[in-house]
Amino acid sequence: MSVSLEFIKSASGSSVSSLSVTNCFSAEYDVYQLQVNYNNGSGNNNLSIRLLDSGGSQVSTSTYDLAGLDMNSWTSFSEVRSTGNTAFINTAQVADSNDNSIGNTYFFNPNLASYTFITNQQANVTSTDFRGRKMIQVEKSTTQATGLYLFTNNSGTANIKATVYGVK
Amino acid sequence: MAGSLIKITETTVSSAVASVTLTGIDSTYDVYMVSLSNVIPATDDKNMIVQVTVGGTADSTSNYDHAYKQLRADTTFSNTSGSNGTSVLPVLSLGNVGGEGASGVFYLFNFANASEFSFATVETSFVDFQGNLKGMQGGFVNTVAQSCDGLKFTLESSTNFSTGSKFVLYGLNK
Repeated sequence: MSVSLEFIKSASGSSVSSLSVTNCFSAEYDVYQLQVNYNNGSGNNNLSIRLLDSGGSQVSTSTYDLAGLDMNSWTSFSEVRSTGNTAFINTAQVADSNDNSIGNTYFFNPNLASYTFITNQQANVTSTDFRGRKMIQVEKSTTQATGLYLFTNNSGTANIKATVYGVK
Repeated sequence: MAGSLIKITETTVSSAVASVTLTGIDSTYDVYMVSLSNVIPATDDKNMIVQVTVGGTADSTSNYDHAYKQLRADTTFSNTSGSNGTSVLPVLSLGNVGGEGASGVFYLFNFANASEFSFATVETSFVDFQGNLKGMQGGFVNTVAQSCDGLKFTLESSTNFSTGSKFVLYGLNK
């Protein structure tokens, strides 16, 4: 019996502001699952992700759009929308050393010369409060991506573990 | 758990077709997953239509209920819901210019159980014909106690799916 969720690569860093996962995308898969464990942060850190092109360079053009719903335990839910971003933003969030964020993201066709879509779900504890997130994002440059660059949005540090699976 | 996703069948459109049907659901697994990637309509601005199949034939009776939150990057989100429809529309006004297209994941529950309704959770992400990022978060149910063996995908106005559109059915090992 063949299995269809295949481990590709994992990377991690302690007290880092960025993390690269190189050569995780190829023509072998169309759909990928990225699992992120993000914790022990400093400052109010949202985690952003950029695609890496075939040369390993970050795709940092203003070609990323976002639509998401923040579901907050302590206040009303809020819609988040933005276009022309330079990364997939708000993919995880921590605020201090006690916080933890778990995120699950599907990437669709990152290695194809078409738009790259993602769907993302998160469970975050920020400053003792809970925030769930459901979001979609797209990168419109049609770059054939080979990897990921994860980074904190305010250069704060955190522990980051990223694991990529291929959905065969 | 890695290693528990089992591919049942897949269709990658190699020449334009008006429908794609994925079958193979039975009692082997309790939960099934469908992934859509690079789904592109031959004509711009088309809704994608989904129906369950029974014995490989689409159920077109008025027994579909659905509810979605439509996420979108351009303006306020909206709720989309309905009861007793003949199908469900998890992708709206899909574009086909440049890199536009649709992606998504469905989880299917109770499909093979003839004593239960068939449920699905839906997450889609797509760019519409005006270039706006949109996605549906929600689900649907086919309110007939029947054994369903798959899903049929079509596009509004009998529009074809373009080459490269991919649909895959998986079982979740139990």
